[in-house]
Amino acid sequence: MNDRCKDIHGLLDRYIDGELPTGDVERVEAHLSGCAEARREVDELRALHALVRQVEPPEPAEHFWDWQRMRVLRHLRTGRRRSERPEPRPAFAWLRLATVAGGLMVVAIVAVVGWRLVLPGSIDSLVAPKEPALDRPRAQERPAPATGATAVKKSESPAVGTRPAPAVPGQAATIEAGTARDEDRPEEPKATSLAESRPVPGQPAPEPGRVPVLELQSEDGAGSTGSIEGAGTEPGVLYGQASSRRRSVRSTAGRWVVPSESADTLRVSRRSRPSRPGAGFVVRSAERPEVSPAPPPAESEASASKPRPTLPDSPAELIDLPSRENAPDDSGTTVLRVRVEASGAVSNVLVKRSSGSKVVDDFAVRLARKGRYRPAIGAGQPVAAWLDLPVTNQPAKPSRSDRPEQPGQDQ
Amino acid sequence: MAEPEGRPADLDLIRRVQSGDTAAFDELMQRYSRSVYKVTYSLMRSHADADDATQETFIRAFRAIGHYDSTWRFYTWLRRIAVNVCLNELKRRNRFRLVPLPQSDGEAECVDVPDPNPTGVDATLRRDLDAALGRLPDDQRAVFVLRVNEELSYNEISELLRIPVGTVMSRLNRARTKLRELLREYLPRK
Repeated sequence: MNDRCKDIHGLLDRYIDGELPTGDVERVEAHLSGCAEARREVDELRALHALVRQVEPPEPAEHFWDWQRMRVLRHLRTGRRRSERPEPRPAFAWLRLATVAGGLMVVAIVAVVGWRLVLPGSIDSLVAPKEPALDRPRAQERPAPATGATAVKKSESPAVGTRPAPAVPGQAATIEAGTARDEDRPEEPKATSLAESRPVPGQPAPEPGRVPVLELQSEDGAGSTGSIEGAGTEPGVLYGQASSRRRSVRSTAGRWVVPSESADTLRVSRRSRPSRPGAGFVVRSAERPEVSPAPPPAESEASASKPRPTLPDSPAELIDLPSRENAPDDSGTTVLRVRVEASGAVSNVLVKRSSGSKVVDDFAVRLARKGRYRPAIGAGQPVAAWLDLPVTNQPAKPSRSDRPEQPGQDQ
Repeated sequence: MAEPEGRPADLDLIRRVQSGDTAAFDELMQRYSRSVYKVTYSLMRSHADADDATQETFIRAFRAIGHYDSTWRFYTWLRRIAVNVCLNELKRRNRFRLVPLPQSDGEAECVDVPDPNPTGVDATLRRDLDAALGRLPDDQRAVFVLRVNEELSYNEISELLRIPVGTVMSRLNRARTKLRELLREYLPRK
């Protein structure tokens, strides 16, 4: 190979790559026509290129591409690192700003609602003028059953008797019930509710003619999950645990909101054990026609157009409780509220004050449902009424516990 | 790349991605996954590595698409990212290669496990070709692949790899020389 051949061989790479100037191409081609070694070199390089191009990368399965794109998109969507997001455009910046502003508004709303939940007194203080009426005797507080109204109890009331009066007036408010439908006149819109006069933040306004939500709050302020059901146009302090068959509600701060459709019957229970003895729930009705200084027109018209029921002449009475077979080993006294219909049948049993033992409470409820009762008498006729019925379970002395303690009567 | 009838142009899709439309980026991936995979496989010489590099290429492209210069063809821009991803990965591997392989000739050396179940008439050829390309230094292999497989000009390779054209030619020449030795049995006899 002479010097001329060496020069040309140095151009062969660029020649087969098409990178040579036109003049050099002519020189190389002229040399190739007379140099077999140069032609072999060119042929070998071209064969090498053809060989490499011939072997394509392995073709993955068709679903591989979808899978790969899915992985990339998932990574892009779930990537938390800021650097993995595309550069923000002006539109993104506004969107981000709007998102942050919205988040701040939500936090503010939650803070306000939480403050109101934690400090129930702040709510009660809004209706302070109504509070004195709550100190009236229960028989006067309680509305007639035909109106479907729910009476009100203060926590310091002897009937409640489970917690001391709060240091700050108004902080005793524990459960606030909106209102209840009238059992006898379900079509008639009822009354004023605290929920109406003081809308719950975040809750939709009640529809006209519909009973608004019930608003309940645990007495001890502890959050719990529980259930609400029951029959209750009656006031009461409900302690302990009771079964739920209708609707469960969840609370984050001990404040429960119940749909209106369950407001015609009311039972409050909680699954968690009270944080301290006596801690429980107070049902507070929003509908207090006789104590409300300014009932709404709908309530006034309804009350004026229909007669209010009167108190019975004689209360309902317990005649007999069944034998205490299978009584639990725990001892304790459960105060029940038993709804005795005009026929003497029991239509509902509520736990007014828990014994502190679910087993004892459940047993007392079962026992009360099987009891025999004499209905209350009003205007010479049997009428439905509520009966307060303390039931004590003392396995060691069953003969004494069979008798109810100081049964009382409520309407 | 000319767009078939009815398909939005790459630039339209890129604008949509820049506005936050992830679906548009999915469309771009559908168009270019195979091409990017081809480049990454040529450089990485293994399906698993090529898959990872392709995925990383699209992730980086998504991140940087706000800076996309519309004077570039999208695939050219994407290929540049893919090559950089592969070379960075290969450099990282070389940096942590503490124990040289036996009979190493002093150059960087890759030993890859062949893809499972290579079938077909060219299975042996593929394995030998992968082995031969794997024995090339990364920088030589990158230049060779870009020239032969991607058919880039010297200037394009120079710009892409940020090296002088003379370096491109020298690396290309060394790569060819070595491949001719390694693949002698597949080439015409002298």
